[in-house]
Amino acid sequence: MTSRTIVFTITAATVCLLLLGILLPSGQVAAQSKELNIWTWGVYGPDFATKSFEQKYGIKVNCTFYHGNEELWSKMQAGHQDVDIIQPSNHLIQRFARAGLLAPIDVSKMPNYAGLMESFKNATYNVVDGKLYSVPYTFGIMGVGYRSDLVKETPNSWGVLWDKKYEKKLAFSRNPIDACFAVGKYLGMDISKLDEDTDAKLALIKEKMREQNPLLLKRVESLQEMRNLLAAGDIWLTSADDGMIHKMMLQDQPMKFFVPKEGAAAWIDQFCIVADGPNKEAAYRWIDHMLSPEIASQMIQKMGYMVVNAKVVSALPPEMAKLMTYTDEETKRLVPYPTLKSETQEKMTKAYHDVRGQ
Amino acid sequence: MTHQEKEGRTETMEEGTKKLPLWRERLSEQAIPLLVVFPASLMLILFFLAPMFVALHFSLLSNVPFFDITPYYTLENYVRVLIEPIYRNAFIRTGIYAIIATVISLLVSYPVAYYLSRKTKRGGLFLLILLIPFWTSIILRVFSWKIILGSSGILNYYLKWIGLIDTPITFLYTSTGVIFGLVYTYTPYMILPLYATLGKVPNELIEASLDQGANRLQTLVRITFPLTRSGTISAVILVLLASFGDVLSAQLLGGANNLVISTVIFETFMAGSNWTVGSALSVIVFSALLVLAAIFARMGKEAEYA
Amino acid sequence: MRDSRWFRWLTTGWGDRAFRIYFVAYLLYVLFPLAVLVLYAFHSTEYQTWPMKGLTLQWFRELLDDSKLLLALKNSILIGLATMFFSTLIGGGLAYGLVRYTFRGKAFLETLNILCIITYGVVSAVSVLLWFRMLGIHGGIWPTIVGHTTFIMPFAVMVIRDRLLNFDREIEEAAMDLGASRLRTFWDVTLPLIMPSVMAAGLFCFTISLGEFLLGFFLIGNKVTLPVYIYSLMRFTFTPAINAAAVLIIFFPTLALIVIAIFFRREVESLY
Repeated sequence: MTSRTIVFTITAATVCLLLLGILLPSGQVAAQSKELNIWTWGVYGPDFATKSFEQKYGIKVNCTFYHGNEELWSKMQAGHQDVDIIQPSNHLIQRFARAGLLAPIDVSKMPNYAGLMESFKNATYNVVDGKLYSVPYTFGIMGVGYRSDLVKETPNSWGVLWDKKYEKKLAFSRNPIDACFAVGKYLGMDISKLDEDTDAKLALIKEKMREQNPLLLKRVESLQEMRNLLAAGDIWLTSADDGMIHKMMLQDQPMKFFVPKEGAAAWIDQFCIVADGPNKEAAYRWIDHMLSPEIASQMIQKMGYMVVNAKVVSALPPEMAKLMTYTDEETKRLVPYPTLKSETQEKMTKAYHDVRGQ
Repeated sequence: MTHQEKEGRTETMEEGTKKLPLWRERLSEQAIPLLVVFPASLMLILFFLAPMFVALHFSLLSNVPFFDITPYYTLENYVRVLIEPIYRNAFIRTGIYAIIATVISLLVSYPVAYYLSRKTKRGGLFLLILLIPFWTSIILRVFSWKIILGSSGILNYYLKWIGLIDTPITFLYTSTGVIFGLVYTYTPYMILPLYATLGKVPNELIEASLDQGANRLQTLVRITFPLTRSGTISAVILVLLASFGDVLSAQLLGGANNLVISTVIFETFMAGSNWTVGSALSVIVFSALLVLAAIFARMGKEAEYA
Repeated sequence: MRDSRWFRWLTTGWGDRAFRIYFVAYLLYVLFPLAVLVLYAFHSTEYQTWPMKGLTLQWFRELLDDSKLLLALKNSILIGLATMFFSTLIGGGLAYGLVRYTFRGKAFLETLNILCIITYGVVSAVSVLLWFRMLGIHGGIWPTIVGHTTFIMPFAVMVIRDRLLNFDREIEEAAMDLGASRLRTFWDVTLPLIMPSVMAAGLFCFTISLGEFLLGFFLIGNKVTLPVYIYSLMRFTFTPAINAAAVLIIFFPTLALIVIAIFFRREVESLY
């Protein structure tokens, strides 16, 4: 056959495929009530949760991962009409809610909400105009984790992450606001007051971060990569969530975690329902599912992050409970991630980029 | 159809023999090219040119105008780019990596292209074989170099086994890694145009030169090089500019201190509201690329007329 | 002894032979990472160290459980086919217009075309994102197709233009003298002659679209294309499931190419 015939056959086949392939999905619009789209942190979409949910409700779960609240904000900026659930941290709920991105949450639709620890139920960071916009999920501290077998001392200060001894064996948070809070704490600032004198304070923070630049190995793409690099010994010390380090310790990895003496900040990750998300019903069911004691306890066991469910926390196996309990002294050094003004948060993001570029 | 049948049909074919009114002929002369070229021009202008102006617009804003903070016009993004050393350094570093990668690429590709175009009958086929890996994602192939070059990877293992080294050499997360990735990614882009341009050198010239007593090397330098100069320059431009805009090598194989400007731009769009700075950087990079391309185009033209 | 064949083989032709050896070395260099990728898809542990610890098929199982890969593949192929179709059509038109005619704005178009190729990168991708966002166009399959077509079309133009420049216009003129209209000439004369390069352009465009990362990343929105999915795997999964994906991705195109080589040998040979 002539080459012309071939080409026209291919073209005809292509056009048919296109019409079928691209038009058919519009038939899936009806099927959307059978799907739930979640944007979440890389470690929050585990199989045990999605599979059991799919079995229970017959709704398919699609997880898209991101690493960092700023990446989530960027994704929302790029277009958010297809997602049902997102998981920002507590200090951003005000901003997300005021920007009209979130739907108010009716806790009566989630029976498992009652099982939350009291202190988590009556928060102010997620209430705007009397309406609740998020439900807490996990919480933790951003402190310092390190390989106890490779680091021959017992550090207790943020300063160890600036120690030239460990050049090219260090990593640091790549989320702008987290990083600024950590450095701010190192410099002894009251991070809840960053709305005042922002520029001057940020200049100091930037200077400190610049000192750290030549000591870092590489920018870490995700928590999984951080785990891998630590396990391989490519990095020895890093700023890290306590949950991640505790998990590695429970897996018999030679890791240690500490709350620096200058102080550290504690975050609470939330569930939020996107205002124009297509499937709010399924969203409620998912949150309820994740808050249930069964899933929450698996979450703690498999991921190592503390959950807000009261029953689960009190039923922790002893070795976990020991790891995850902090002394009074340590607890005194902690502050929750403060909700700052949007302008301040923007400035922090920009400051971080001006120093790190990536 | 036989000639006779064709002739018999001539009467029914208007345009070829019958004289069309002048306006109609001129119209078809003018209309057809515009028609044929229209969709492409529309696409290029609408989705290539226009976005550049949009980037310019965003680069002059203080914030992205999508959610909560109302933006105002300002030059602060450009000021930041000029003042903060990280952007300047990333820019220079990217240029250095691109130049080194291009030079190495040229040295590696020229013999391959030479072989494919002159030294073998099945050059086209071999070229196709070379392009097979293109079907697999470039991400994967660069990623696999992580396995090969890692501290506990294949290369280090055999270097130790041979006894050349005691502790593993760090290839990854260094500038070596980045340049390696760039060379690997872009040599095919160098080989293709070199192959095409080398193929145009007439065999007779080579043979004549050899007959005249020049050895192979002299023929190469005196005949082949000058004849392929403009083609080579185009290939070099292509690879240079492409390496400049490459994101993957630095992301996968580079460390914290091998920051390239493309990663910076990529990151500003990935993390938060820095889209304005990213746009400013994009405008600057695009302008730089334009200038470079213009310079090289001029050089290429001169080479052609030489 | 000195005249024996093996002696002659040993001492002459080193110039050509060196080239051949060099080319084989280069080919190995290009293909080696693929081999490594495939090998580690069967590695029994997560950590990609050498020597290998054992073999397993678990990553393939993990991958096949993950329906997102198949979805990504389907999307990439759809986008690739659409891009191939539109790029070749539109690009071919541009090539024809640029070669056969002169008109106002021709130089402008040519410059635009070349610029499109050489400045392709993050800059182009994010600019298109900004433009679409400003217009209120959210990510998805069709925006990605549009983006891909815009930036891949110039390649089609390059390939087809090269061919158009290199053949005798006399044939076309002869056809028109014989009474064929412009359209007829194109259909019966020009098109068959440039057909190999049209097919090559199509294949080229399809391939580029499959592997294209940047535009897909910014324009695809909530869905995934194959390179975008692989990138997300690399960030968040870190298991050899990535390698298993690579094996599948390598296997099928190679199979396709072998099929093409066997069944369409004549057309392939006409390409060179």
